[in-house]
Amino acid sequence: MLDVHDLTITFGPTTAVRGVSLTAAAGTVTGVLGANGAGKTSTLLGILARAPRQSGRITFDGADVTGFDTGALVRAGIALCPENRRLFPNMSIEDNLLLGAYGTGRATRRTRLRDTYDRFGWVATRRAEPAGRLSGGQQQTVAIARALMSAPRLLLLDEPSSGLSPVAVDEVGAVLADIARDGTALVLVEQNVRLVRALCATAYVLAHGQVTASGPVPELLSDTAVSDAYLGTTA
Amino acid sequence: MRAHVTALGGAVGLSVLAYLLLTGLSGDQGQVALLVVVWTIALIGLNLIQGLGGYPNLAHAAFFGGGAYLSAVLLDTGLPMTVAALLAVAGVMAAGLVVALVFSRTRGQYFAIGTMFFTAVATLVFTNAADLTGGPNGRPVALGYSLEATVVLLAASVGVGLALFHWASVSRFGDRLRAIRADEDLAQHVGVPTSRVKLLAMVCSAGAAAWAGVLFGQYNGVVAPSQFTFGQSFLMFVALGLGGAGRLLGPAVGAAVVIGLTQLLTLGPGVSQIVLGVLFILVTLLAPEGVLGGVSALARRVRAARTGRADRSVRGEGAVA
Amino acid sequence: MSQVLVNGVFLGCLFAVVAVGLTLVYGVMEVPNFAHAGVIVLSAYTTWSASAAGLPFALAALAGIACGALVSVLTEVLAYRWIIDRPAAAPAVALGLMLILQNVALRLYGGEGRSLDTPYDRVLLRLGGVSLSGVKAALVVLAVVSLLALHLLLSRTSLGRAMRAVAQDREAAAILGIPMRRQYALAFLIAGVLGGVAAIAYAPTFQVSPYMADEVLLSAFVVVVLGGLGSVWGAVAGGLVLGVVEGLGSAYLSPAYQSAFGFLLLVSILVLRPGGLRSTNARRVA
Repeated sequence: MLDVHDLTITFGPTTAVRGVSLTAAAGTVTGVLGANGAGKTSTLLGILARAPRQSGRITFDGADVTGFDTGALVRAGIALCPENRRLFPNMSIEDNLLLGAYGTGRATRRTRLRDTYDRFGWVATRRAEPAGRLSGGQQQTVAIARALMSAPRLLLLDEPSSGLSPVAVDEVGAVLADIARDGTALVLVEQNVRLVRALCATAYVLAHGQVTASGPVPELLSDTAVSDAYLGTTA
Repeated sequence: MRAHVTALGGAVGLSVLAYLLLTGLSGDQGQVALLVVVWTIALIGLNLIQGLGGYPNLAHAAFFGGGAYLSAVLLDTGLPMTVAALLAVAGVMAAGLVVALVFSRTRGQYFAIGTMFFTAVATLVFTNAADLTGGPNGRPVALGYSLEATVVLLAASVGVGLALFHWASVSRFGDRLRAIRADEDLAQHVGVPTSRVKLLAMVCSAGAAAWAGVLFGQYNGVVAPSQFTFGQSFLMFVALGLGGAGRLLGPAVGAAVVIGLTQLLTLGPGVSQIVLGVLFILVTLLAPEGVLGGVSALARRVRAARTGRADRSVRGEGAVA
Repeated sequence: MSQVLVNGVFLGCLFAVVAVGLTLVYGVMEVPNFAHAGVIVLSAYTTWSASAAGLPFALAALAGIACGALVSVLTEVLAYRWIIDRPAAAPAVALGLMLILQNVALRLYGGEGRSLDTPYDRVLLRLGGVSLSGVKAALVVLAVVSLLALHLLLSRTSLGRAMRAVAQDREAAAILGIPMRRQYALAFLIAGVLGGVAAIAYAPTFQVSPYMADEVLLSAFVVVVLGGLGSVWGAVAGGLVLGVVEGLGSAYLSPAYQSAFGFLLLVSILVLRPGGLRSTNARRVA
């Protein structure tokens, strides 16, 4: 479904991502692991045209989307749930959700909103509250729900577990498993190994902007490649 | 060492140039020369707080006018010229201190707005306190210095001002100001006494503007509020940016460009200001370090290209096969 | 006293309309839009010349508003857009634009003040012990109508929601696929319309000249600081407060120093709260 080939991203003199290639098949959950600064976030941003690409070809559902801008990518069916959630703190939950479906018609928005409220009952009761008042775990759920409002076929998530208590992580994990079961492909950047083990079939390991290992998750996690990446020793 | 010699050479050279221009030109051109020289002196001060320190200061015209008006008022009381001049500068520096204290915790956009407003109020005072300031039509200034003396002082102030700026720029004071411009919070963290540094820069810059104002009053013999509005503050801000904020000769280049454009281009009312506006936007977009910055960047590229070529010939590439 | 208050409210409505335009632009692009003075001036001149050319006032007013919108969007497309990643360069560009716009007006129409006649020039309303000239009443009405319209836009429409989002977290809005350039242009469009409204509303009271908007712009900036850069409701509330303060100061202390009272208010706010009255970490719109 998603094929990223030879992606390079530089910010001025720094190269954040160097020739990264990865694929995510439809209906799967793919993990992207690595230490801080390994280039995981930049990779996701690069896929969504939010970071300057020096090179790389991106294919989605068979079509070449390399030249697409962010709006076009979202319309094509890719959505990103960014690091630290980034809800609009002084806007109501409902407004936040509606923004996820920006660009679609009013009827579509309302339908999807209703579906979201059906799925997440507690959100419906607090829909008028400013999003900034929610707890971390609740914000994460709303952020995921907001990303889902664009009806993506591929959902990119940047460290959804960061800053959350173990209980909240489990809840988020359950939500993500649900979404995956429904058929949406997920690319999950994560440092929480338990979450990765529970959700991801395959994963990539990034270090210093490059892919150092990839493969089925159980093997990968028992491999020294992963601990190397996290501890910063060269692969 | 070479930098110091170049700087001092530049300072002396510009001083001499100023003297020649002021004594050599007369009439309209003479007026232009005066304005360029006076603005250069004032802008050297602005270069401290805005150029090195990065604070968008729109209060400068108020200090400039303050020096002019205050010296005129003090001269009326019969004080000898030098005393009146020094007191005027001191008075304006005190005002600068107050402004700096009031806005000590404001930055960026807020600082620009606050100082802009300060100038507007100063203009209001200049226009309305008619007993002291003569109202909207201004007032005459008693001539405490002879014309020759004023010209010498003007020329000398250019040189001395530039030398002082150079000294400040290479000193720890300059480093601290530049640190504040780069990242004030970080500078504070690292132990730079940012409030004190900013205060000092503001007071010194007010002093330079005031001194320029005193000399301006002496040369012109008359001062009026229209020369000291917040529009003038804007133009000073623009002038420094155009010339090259933070650079030694920025004030001179900037003053020359702005005054030259506004006084010499007689394409009709306002056209020179339109040109100025366009120029300023273009410079901001394309050469954010002003004319001087653009020139030095160009020089760097030429030098790099030349050494690159020299390298290649040494290594034998590009040689005729 | 109540007459003074009413005049203060009139002034406040004027400040509010101009300040809202400034704060919208600031919220979305972090730009202190000094050029807005030029937008107001060109709007006023357009209305004046349309009216002088024989158009009925309502049409002339619409022409003025359209001009304001157009000029404002042009400033975004031609200048502000290119420094979106360099907020430090914003004051410089803003000043350059102001120079250009004011002097274009000067070039086209000369420096003499012109007076703008309106159909409601001779109207004088009397309510209770207070009288309000037709012009001032019209300003209040126009201000209320346009601000209400803006409120509806921001709270009920998709575009308005997007604008609020962009002001709070530009990158997060972009990630959702919201087209940023359109949002910038929209903010400037609205600001231009409001500027046009301000122009036709108060041009009849003051003369139309290239410098007519300078004092109002200054006061509007005080309002923006008062209400918090980016907050629309803050701008409205702040506008009314400042209008009354300046009105009171002008009536009871000294009319010549009217804007000085605004300055005192600004200074007190900045000393006590360097981030403005309603400053929060997130910039807010509405």
